[in-house]
Amino acid sequence: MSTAASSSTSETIAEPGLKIKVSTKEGEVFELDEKVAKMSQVIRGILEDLGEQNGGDDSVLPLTQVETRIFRKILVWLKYHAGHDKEEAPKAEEDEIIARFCEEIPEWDQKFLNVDQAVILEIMLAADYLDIKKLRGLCCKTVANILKTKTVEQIREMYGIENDFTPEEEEEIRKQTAWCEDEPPRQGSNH
Amino acid sequence: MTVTKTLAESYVVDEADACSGKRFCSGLHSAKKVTAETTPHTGQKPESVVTLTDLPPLLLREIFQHMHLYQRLYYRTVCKDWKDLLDSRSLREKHALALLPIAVGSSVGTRDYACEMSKDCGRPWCRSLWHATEMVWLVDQVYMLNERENHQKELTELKTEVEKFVSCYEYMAFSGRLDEMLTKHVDPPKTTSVPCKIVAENHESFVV
Repeated sequence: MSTAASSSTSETIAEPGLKIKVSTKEGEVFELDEKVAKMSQVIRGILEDLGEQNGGDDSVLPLTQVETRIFRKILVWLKYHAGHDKEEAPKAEEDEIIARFCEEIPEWDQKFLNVDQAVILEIMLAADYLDIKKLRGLCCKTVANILKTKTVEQIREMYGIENDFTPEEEEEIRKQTAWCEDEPPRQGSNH
Repeated sequence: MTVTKTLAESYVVDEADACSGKRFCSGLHSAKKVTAETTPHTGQKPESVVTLTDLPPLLLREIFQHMHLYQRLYYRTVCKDWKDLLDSRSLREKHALALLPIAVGSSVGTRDYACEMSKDCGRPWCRSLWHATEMVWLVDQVYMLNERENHQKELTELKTEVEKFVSCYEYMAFSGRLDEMLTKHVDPPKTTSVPCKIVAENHESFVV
């Protein structure tokens, strides 16, 4: 197993049981409760591959793509959900898609993700890297909810996206989707 | 400026104090509170800031999966990359496979389902529109799924549902859109597809 080059600080979640050490991109080492660590399918997979012998020595799992400031936030989320979530059997992909539409973002998670959008995206990327599906999904839903309030022009401006359609192409697409835009249809709606 | 420490070790500032710049803003100005990181939100994009355009397509696709059909159609006009992603067959197909059983389910009628799903949209005409677009979209999926033996029952029920719904007044405005969508937004049907003729209340008929 790789060992982190250095550790400037070490944080311990004060709970009994096996501890898992991980290091961030900057080499900062965190010591996690096994239950918390295993909410990341990547860490779970590594531990299973290693026969879960990580806790007894000084080995550190390097999470080279996750910055410390983002990992700290993810830890907050992991610790909360480790203590509050019920054990659930993994959902089938189709059930997950349905859940995306039907389930609201819980209040605690809404507050957790009430941060700058760039931070949400960084948490999303880290959750994807660590394979924490629930957190990644919450980030995606939050961003989708933000996007839904924006017009095409606002989105282009917000993200510096160039409109690479020719005027003719754009007009053609707009014709196809004109009924999706702000003006309600002239007939057919009695609302 | 009012600054308080929050759960996520960031700082919350009152909305009135937050940056009023539109470019690269967080998009959260509509919320009561806007959270800034330890560096002030200046409205300028720092070099290290991650934006939507930095995301890999798989994550962008997952974001789109949280949107309704009409929202996806609307955002096709952002740029070519988004259009390609939103038009991708896999995105639509996965969605359809998941939702078909609900849409045609006996306990949750299609109309109820559509209304429930559209509750987050403030547009007054949303429900009828969303329902219509969703039905058009589901018909669209018929072509994709027609060859899948294990979905024949759902497809038969879906066609029945569509026939029922076509009699709804709201749908009339969109009946002309059906042909447009089926011809322009959908891959050509497989040769084994069985055409289904639908006759609307005003006796207008079309084949799907």
